[in-house]
Amino acid sequence: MPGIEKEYVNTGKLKYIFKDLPLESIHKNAFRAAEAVSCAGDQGKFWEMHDRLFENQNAIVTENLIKHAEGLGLEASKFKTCLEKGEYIEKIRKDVSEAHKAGITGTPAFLIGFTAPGGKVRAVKMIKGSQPYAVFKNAIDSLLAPQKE
Amino acid sequence: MKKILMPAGLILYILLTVQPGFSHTTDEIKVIKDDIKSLREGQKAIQKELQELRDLLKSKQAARPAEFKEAIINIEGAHFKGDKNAKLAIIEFSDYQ
Repeated sequence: MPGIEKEYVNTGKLKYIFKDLPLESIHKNAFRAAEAVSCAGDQGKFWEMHDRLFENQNAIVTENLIKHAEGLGLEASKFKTCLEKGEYIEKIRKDVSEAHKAGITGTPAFLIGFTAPGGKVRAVKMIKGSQPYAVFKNAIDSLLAPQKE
Repeated sequence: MKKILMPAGLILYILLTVQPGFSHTTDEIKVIKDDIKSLREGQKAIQKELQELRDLLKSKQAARPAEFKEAIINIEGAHFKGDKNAKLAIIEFSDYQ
C-alpha cells in the first residue's frame, strides 16, 4: 500500500477508499475494532486509529480500544459513548453486505475502477489477498492507459 | 529317378519362392515396427501437449479474479485518501485482525 499511495494516490491519479469487512466468524473482536476506528473518525483520527489497530492486531478488546483512543489524544468519554451506542454498526453492516454482493468474502480484497457521479465507484477489477505491488500496478496502469488519449 | 527328383524340385521351388517371401515379410514387419514407433512418438507428443493444456486451464482457473466483471460500490461517507475527484478509485475491504 505505501507504494500505491506514493505513486498514485499522492499524485492525484487514484482515490483510496477504505471499507470495513470484519470477519466475525474468525475474528471475534474485528467488528468492535471496525467500530472503534469509525468512532475515532468522529474526532478526526480515522486513519490514525486505523493504522494503530493494524499494527496492534493481537489484543483488540474494548479496554484496549479505549486505551488506543486515549493514546491518540481522543476524548475518551465521547469515544466510549460512540462504541456503547453502536453508532456505526449499521454502516459497517452495509459495507459487509456490499462486499458480499461483489463476491468478496475474505480480507483483504480490493476493487479498482472509475469514480462515478453520486458518490459511486464502478469497479471493474478485483484483487484478492495481499498481492505484490506489481499486481496492483498492472491493474491500475491498465485502467489509466486509455485515459491518456 | 524322376519320381525322386520331383519332390526335390518342388522343395527347391518352394525354397526359392518362399525365401524372398520371407524377406519381404521381415521388411514389412520392420516398416510396421517403424510405423508403430513413430505413432508412439506422436502419441507421446499429443499427451504432452494435452498435459500442457490441462496445466494452462488449471492456472487459468486458479486466477479466478479474472472472472469478476463489474460492481457498483457506494462510497458516500466512506473515508478516503487522495484527490476526491480522481478518475480512478481503489476500494480496500479489510478487517483488523
